[in-house]
Amino acid sequence: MMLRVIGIRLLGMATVLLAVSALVFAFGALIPGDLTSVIVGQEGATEEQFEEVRRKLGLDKPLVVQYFFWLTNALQGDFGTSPITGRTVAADLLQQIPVSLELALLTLLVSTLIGLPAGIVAAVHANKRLDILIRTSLLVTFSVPIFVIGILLLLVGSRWAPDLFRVSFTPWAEDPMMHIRSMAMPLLTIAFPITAMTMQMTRGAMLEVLHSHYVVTARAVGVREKRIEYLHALRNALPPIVTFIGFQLGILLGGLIVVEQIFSLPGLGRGMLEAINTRDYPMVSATTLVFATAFVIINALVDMLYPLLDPRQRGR
Amino acid sequence: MNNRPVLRVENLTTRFHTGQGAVTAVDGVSFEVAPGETLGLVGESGSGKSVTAMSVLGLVPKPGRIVRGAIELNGSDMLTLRNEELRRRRGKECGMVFQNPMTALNPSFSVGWQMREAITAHDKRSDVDTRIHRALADVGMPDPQRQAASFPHQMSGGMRQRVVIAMGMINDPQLLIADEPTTALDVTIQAQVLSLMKTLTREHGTALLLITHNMGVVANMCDRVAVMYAGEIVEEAPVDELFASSRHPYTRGLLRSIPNPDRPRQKTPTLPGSPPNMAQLPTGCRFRPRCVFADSRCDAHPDLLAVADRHKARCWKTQNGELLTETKSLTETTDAN
Repeated sequence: MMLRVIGIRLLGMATVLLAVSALVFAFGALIPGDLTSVIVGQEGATEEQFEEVRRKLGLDKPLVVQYFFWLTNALQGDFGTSPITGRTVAADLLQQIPVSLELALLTLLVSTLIGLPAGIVAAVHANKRLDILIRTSLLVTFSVPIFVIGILLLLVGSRWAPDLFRVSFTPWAEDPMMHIRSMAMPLLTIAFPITAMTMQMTRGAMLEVLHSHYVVTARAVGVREKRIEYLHALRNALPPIVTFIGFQLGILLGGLIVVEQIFSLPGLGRGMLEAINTRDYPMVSATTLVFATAFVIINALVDMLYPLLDPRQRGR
Repeated sequence: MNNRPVLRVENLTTRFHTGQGAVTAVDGVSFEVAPGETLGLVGESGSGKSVTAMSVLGLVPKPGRIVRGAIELNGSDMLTLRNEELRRRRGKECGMVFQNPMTALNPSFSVGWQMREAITAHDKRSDVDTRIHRALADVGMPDPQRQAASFPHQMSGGMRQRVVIAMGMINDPQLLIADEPTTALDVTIQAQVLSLMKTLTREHGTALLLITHNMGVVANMCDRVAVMYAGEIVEEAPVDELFASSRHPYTRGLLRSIPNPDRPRQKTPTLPGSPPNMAQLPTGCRFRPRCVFADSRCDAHPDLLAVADRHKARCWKTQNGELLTETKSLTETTDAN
């Protein structure tokens, strides 16, 4: 039974990813100009040279056939070679993915560790001084765009705390201490808005639960107020909060592009932006596919967590 | 047994401060519940009976506040207690059964877990499991061990209400408050749940404050009745006396509105009009706009006065012992079918 559920789930994920890959490929083909113009150059090349390059790249074949070759190669981890850098796309991705993944997971960890308790406390003290303090301080940071926070931090950090932050990226393997220092500022930048969102979501979910009838029942049988808030109520507020944190990872992926650009982190987001600027088609398609895969996997994980959190979702 | 009442409510006034101004949902309500007695609190929706019940345990929802009066549970004044002392009395000296069993239980925890919470909130003895199983068996649940492990969503409404009753009774309180305990249930289950509550409270000698709008339920369950209208008690009497000779036109109207199952084709009378807007109460007698007996005396607000032995009514017409004479039609008739 469980295996069947997982099987259906995986099949669904595969279908979504297949559709995404087709879309990514189609967009690449729709954009005017193709790889040949990037490789051969815009001017001074003869029509024969174009044809020659097209044939070599397989671009003279029908689109469906091209897609089939691209997909089968991609499934084996071969996304082709970048005409710009000359390196294989896969090699670049392997360099970039860990950087972005580390930043994303750290952000999620930090924002949950701060946002979740803050949201609970805010809900419990709804409309009292503590709630207003938490909400204004977090929501002010939320309303400032990431790139403004980033640049401000960069200015302030490099000016008053140059020992704390390091602007150029250093891999962990090279120097762990330096690595932490180089990740600190990007992490802070992106953690601000995400923490505010987690707090707000947690507060809303908790408030709703705190107004439900079973909370009154628990009070009426004499359960202690703290226990009602942090056990009876929180347990019921968790499913929507967890779903939301999952979705945040998706939002984070977009935020990475900006943050990595500001702090020159060699991650997926920065790689993608560069690839778009240089019309590095193989790179753009591959990165898009990586983002989509990450999104699909996160959603599947959240869905699988649901039965653990909510007994009503479990099979009988 | 001593004669001190389990619950004594005196001049209770509970007010809700809303954006449009204050609404006094409960206005100077006084009553007593003797040990082992069942008192019915009857009235239409919005008459203040639920707010009265919630006031007793200090559970009035915001923005409601008890502004006046006294509530004595087993002799201690609930309104002067500190939070922790109040908590210790909830569920221990007074249990509560709610209207809707579909929302009264926590969906994330097993039934047994929730009953354990109700016990351990007051004492941490080791025989908790035995007590849970016995309580579930007492409310007629087959296979208590298995039921304790199941979740609310796996049970029917009637079963859930049995669990809620078991939770209310699990600490053997002296008083059980039941707020419309059968309103949300199927008609076929209602009788079962009521007779269960009757048996349980009899066996344990528990006093019962039964809140309902159903006069049939009152006749079956209660020793005494207090009728509420627009936040006030308008009549209070032993149940037989009330059914035999009610002294308030509102009560009389309610009693006439009970459908007669022996004559299903007969038209059932209904009370004309609707309860007043609690934010804009009529001056004088609050029932006056709907009352066929009303005259110039009713411009002044009547007090709740004794009209016979153990019988009080809030009506100028009957306050000197006079009976309501049936010369006029109290109610209008509509087709029951």
